[in-house]
Amino acid sequence: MVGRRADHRLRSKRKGSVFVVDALTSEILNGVGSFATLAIVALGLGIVFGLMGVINLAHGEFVMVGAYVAFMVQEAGRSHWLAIPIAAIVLLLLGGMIELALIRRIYQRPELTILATFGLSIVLRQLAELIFTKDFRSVVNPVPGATPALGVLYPTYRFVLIAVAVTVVVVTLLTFTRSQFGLTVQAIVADRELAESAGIRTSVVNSLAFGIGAATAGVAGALVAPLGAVEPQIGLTYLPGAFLVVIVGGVSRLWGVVLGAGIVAAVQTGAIHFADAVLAQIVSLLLAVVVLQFGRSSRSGLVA
Amino acid sequence: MNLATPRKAWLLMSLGAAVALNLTLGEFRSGQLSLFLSLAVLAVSLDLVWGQAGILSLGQLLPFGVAAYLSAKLSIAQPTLGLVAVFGSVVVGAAVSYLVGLAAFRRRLSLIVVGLLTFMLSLMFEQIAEQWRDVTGGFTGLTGVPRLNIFGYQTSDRGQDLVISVVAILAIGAVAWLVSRPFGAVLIGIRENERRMEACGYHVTHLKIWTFTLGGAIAGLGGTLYVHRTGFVSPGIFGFTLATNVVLWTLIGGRGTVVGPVVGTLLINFLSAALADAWLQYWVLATGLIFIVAVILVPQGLVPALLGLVGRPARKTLEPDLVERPVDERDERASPIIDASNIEKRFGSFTVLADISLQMETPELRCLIGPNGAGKTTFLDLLCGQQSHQEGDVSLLGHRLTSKPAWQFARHGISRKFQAPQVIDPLTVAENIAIAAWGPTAWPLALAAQSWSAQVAQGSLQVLSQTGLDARLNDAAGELSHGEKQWLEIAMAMAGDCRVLLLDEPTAGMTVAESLRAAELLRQLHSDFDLPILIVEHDMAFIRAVADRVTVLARGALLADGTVDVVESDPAVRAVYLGQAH
Repeated sequence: MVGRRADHRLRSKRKGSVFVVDALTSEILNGVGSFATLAIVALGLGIVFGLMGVINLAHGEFVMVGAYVAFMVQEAGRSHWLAIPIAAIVLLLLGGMIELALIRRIYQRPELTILATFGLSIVLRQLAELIFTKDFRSVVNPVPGATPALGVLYPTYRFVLIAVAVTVVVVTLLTFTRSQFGLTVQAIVADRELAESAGIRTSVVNSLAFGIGAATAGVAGALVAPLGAVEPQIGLTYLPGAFLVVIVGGVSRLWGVVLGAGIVAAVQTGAIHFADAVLAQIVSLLLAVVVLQFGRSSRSGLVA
Repeated sequence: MNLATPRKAWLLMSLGAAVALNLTLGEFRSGQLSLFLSLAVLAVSLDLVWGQAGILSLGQLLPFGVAAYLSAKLSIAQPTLGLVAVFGSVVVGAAVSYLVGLAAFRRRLSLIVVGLLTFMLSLMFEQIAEQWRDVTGGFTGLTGVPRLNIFGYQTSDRGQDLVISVVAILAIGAVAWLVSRPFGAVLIGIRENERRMEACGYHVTHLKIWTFTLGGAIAGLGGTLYVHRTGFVSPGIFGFTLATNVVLWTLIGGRGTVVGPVVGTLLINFLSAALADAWLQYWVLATGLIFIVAVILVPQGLVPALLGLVGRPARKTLEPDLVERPVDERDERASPIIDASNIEKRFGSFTVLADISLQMETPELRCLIGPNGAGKTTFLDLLCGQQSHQEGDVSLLGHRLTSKPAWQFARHGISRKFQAPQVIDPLTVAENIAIAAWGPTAWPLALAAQSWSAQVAQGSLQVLSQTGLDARLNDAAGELSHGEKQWLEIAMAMAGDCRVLLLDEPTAGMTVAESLRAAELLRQLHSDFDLPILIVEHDMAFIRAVADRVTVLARGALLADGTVDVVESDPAVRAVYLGQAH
């Protein structure tokens, strides 16, 4: 599901390749890669849902914009490594602006935020189609080749992806749980009015939190761009998986997202390894349903 | 007044128009009309669950798509199975939604989580349909679905269009009829206030599951009509675009009305068909923008907004007859009336109630008092199933009801008024009373057949007449003042076969004169109907005027119990209230 295209690509490469791989080890590495992607995509969703109570259905489109930023940076002749911070900044600004113009008008009505972000996702996708057409664009892998690890050869870029994604997730989590800013956000979550009367400018903090959520999606988009085709629909591939992570992990603690991503990645990788992709989907669905039946409350998942 | 007549006229006019359009429009347009009407059935199914019952279903494509695949499979395998495919689709649509409903409603997931779950299920079905090639045909889907075959008679293109249009209109009419019945008012009650509905004796979870199942059956019908019209089905039927569009049509047209979603579906689809050839990309972009603008500017939708402009309400009120309920021969009242023994209630590590026992042997007017945080409201919640506790037993009127859900307490005659008045704002005073009177005996199927009248207990009618609410029977409950809502809720609590009345701060927000008047009314109800009443209160003047006996709670423990005089002179009670050291 998440990184489906990427997985296909990797697998087809493997079939006729010179790599000699140990199937199980490389499945485990795939699982780790899928965990890192899931975690970074779901993180932004979790921040916006958990802290602001907003279900952002345009989150996948933020990933898509990040991927196109990477494409444009390449077209401008710049390095892919530059694309990652640029995507973060572009999405931080875009997210902040969207919060200002749209989301803040409808905080009181959660179902309306779902519908408005529905609309937003259509607009973003369609703008991408108008600007870039439906054609598949490709971003060149900056580090082609493979690195030996644990007795197998594994694509170097995937190691880079895992490292960057994990770093971004950890730094973001620390920001929200350990810093002054994080404390302010938590105060707003606990009681918006009280926080406001204590002198916190909740509107600025909200814009910033929404922007950071978008920025992590942008980084995810730039990171996955070299793994598969960049096209306007790419965001939709990532959305269900990210929701699944949020449901499994729960949002009452942000760390739940990381553990949720771990569980979902493990279950999906396992199901793909032992059976096939259809079964992996069905198992994921059952997982979500089971968590919702036995979770302690609708805000908490299995782990948090 | 015969309410059915204008509705029948509407239905006949719509059917006539559909036939006329089918005969006069060209092949292409009449095909479009039947296609869009099959989508309107889908939109109306969404309106039933979302607009009426308040269940945000973003996965209404699930029953629709599964039914479409099933129809396609059956019809391709054996074209004469056309009608079997249609009926099978309705059944499978209902079954799919029933299963989703079980997963979604048994655990009281929040609106948002249900929306998320249904949406995710739909998107995942898209991926399953793409990948399960043997059965679903993968990306290309199933093509070459033959036209409807009715008892061996193969319809022509135009004949099929006519059948689809007529069936769609009949289905939409059936939903309009259903929500105009008391069943519709009950769905609004569930949408607005689930807690109140449970306290009235409705099995809310059950009703939501059945409403969702019915929505699935209707969506399934839409799915089979749709696939016969288009002749093929592909995984996109579960996808983001259609899933969002059906929400858009319903939202734009006006959820909560049946006409709205139909208007929205036809309007947007004809518009997009006209614009799409030349302007496809811009049109899709425009739908996104319309979505955003509609959410912010006309969240209620076009049809209600237009009706509002000409001064008509979007919903026709029921104006039910409230008939006095004959006093039935009551079996000898079981004793004790209230028997709560050794109750312990904890939230995590915090103990709210520790080893509390309270008995009421004979019908008395008892007040439960104590400083803030004493656990009074929590205790009242336990006596009517609104919360559950860890230790101890609750029996009322001889029935052991420990850990039973609130609706079962209500069905044993235990009625509750909440601290902040909880009434169903969009419904009228009379509708609120009728809903409360139907509650203790309501089952989903019976509600569809429920007539316009409600048998209301004499005590409830007495409350209405003595507080002047009987003059405002057809006003929306939301327009009442705070005090009037308090009395309406008490009248609701007494509307059924009320045997024990639990009141949480009935005089909150009342003036001194009003609360003394309230005391008088409650004493009268108590003596007229021999009604046991347990009241949580703060106001000592009211308590002195009303109480036979007072029980004092402090910090989750029982402090004192006796007549007002005894309790007032108790040094321990004085200490907790006045803060004296003891």
